[in-house]
Amino acid sequence: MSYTTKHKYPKTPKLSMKPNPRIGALKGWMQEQHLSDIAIKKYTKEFQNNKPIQHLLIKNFLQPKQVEFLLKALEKQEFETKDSDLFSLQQTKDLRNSTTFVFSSFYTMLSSNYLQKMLQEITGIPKLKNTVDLAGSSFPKHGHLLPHDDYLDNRKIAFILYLGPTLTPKEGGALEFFSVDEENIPQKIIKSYPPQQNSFMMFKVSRQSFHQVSELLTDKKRMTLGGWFHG
Amino acid sequence: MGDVQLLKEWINPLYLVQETIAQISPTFYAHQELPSIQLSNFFLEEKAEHVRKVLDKLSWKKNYIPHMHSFHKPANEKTLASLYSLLNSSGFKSLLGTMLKKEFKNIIIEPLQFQHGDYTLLHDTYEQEKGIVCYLDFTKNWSEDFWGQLIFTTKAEPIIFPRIFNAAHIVQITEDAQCFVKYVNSAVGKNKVYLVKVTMH
Repeated sequence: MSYTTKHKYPKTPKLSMKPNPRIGALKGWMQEQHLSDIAIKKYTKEFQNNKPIQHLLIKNFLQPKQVEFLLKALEKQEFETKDSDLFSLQQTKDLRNSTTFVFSSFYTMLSSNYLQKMLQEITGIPKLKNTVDLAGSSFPKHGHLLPHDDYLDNRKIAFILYLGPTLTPKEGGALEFFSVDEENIPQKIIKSYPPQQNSFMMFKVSRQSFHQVSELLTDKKRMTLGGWFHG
Repeated sequence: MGDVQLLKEWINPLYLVQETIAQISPTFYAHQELPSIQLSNFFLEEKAEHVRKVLDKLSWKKNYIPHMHSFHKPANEKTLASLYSLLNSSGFKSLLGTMLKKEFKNIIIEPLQFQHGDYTLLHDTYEQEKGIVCYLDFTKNWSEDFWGQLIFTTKAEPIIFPRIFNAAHIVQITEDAQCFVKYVNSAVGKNKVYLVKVTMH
């Protein structure tokens, strides 16, 4: 059998020769739509304008396979129950030096110059260091984290990556931001974000950054990776 | 005499006999990290039930400073007049003074209610008042699963007072001790913690 008709192949789009300076260590982790100039401009605007404190939620943050790998690895981690006046939750040890490949690889991405540069563009916070705190958390039913500001040492940006299932507002576990008065005393909840799988929340740490995690009202676990970027 | 009669009308007779009173201060001060004692069935049962009923009927107002506390205070304390008369009496101050080998001149009375979502937090910049504090507990049908315990942090392990109806939890707040009420979770339903905090000077 031979093909005699000329087949017209669609024209191959011209590949841009200009490399995306953000890709680097982020390739293979973040979804590429978050790395374009247009996306960064949009996120910068959102971060700067969001109230009551500067914050940003990026949905569908990582490539789905990586979320799956991270969640599976997190479920295998040893958790310590933490109970105090402020919280009831379960937490892993510091994952910075984890020997689990997916965590060490994720940490490399978090502390890479590529991500630091991207964060500096979005937040306008100069001189971020490559120091990142990273730990896993799991909230059991009734787990909670009461209002506090996170303000400590050189913490500049707090972040949370939601790995567990998406929850409805009725199921609790929402991250909630408070307004503050002129003396930085928290007043009332202005924004509430129920956990959404594969979303990345980041907010600027300051004397005004009062937030809480509302009580988890379901048996589904609220699994996250979180920490702080230092400056 | 009037004050003795008032004590007899309210307090469990066990705590009015010399033999019991003499045992209280050695037990209290034996806890070096946090001098404390829990006196169960402190009031006569019918009096404790009466106070509880009054507390249930009170109108409560939310007192909320998110990073410090969330609890409820009575909108009007007048209906607790009979309890206030007892606590303000010289007989009551004298009884507690004899129990703890101290002299009390003034007291501050604060009825407190904790429901689902309520809590108090420890605070770096807020220094708790030193002295003897007596928490009169009127909480009923409580389960540990609801949390809401009264917890004292010390240099050593924290000391936890579970909720017990008609108990008097007496503690000496020292520099190293701080107190908080653990968050009351949703398992509590409509049940509530009722405490009458009596600070003694």
